Amino acid sequence: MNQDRLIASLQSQARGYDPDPPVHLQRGVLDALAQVRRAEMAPRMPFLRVGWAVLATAAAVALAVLLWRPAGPAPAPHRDNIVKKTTPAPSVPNPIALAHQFLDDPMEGELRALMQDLSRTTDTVTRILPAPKTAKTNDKALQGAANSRSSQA
Amino acid sequence: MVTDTSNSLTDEALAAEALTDPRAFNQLAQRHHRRLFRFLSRTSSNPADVEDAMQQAFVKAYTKLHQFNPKFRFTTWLFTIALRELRVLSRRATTAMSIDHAAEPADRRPQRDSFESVDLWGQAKRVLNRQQFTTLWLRYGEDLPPRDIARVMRRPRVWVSVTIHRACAILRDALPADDGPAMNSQREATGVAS
Repeated sequence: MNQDRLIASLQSQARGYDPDPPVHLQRGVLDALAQVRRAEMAPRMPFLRVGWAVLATAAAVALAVLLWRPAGPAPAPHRDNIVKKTTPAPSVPNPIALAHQFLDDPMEGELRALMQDLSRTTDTVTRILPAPKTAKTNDKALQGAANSRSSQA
Repeated sequence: MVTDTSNSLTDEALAAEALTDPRAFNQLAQRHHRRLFRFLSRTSSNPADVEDAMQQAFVKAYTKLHQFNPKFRFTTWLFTIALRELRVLSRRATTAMSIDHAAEPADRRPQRDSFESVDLWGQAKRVLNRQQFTTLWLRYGEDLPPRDIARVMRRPRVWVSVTIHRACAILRDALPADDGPAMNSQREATGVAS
């Protein structure tokens, strides 16, 4: 048997073998490829979903805290509500006399006390210190001094 | 962008374009759909396995497109993936396959007299093992060079040459001899050709 004849027959019979693929097969292949592409895009979706869920939960918690938070200290009253209470002015006919009533009395008292102190001091000083000499003595002293000067001359 | 000019592109150029544009791969799938089905249906006798392997092969080729080496043909790469998928599916149905093989007739010799009228590939499927048959089909059915066959079969190139030679020898021995029916009956009597 010739090898070349065998190979040629194999080739010719192979060329004659050309089965039609099922119609659904090509569509199935393309669908499978599209599914793979969708799956490649899919991993991003869970992250997005988790992100949105976290954001929504945080917003809900923040809203709940704002709405139902426990009551704190009473807020300060508004300035407009403050009622100004004014005391009636004393009805004094002469304000200067009123001023003297509070100002002059202490000064007079102090002056009086000061005068008393000074008089006591005068008594003390005159009692301790000797009284000053008379004018006669002084004249004699002056006369004696003059005499001595003339004698020397 | 896939345009009408993409029809004139080579498989390798289209594969490179498919890295950025998925529609280019659809073009490749449509281009090789029929040829891959032909190869798989010749290699496997189970139509369900053929369809599953074909779908898996295209999906895997799409997802692993960045691993494609343009040094080789796109069909070589596609056949490699498809054959592996077919093997995986066949392993799952090993029991069923063994039952099928057991049901085959014990006498593998064709009952026809003339060499050309014999269904050579049908006979080859009966007398050759799966690797021998696939290698023979890739060489003479798909006209792949031994270098590409070695890549598909994941074997050295020497193994491809030896396997093809051995497969031809086995097939030749299984076919009716040119020297006539008398010689055949003599061979059967002596038990040489079995």
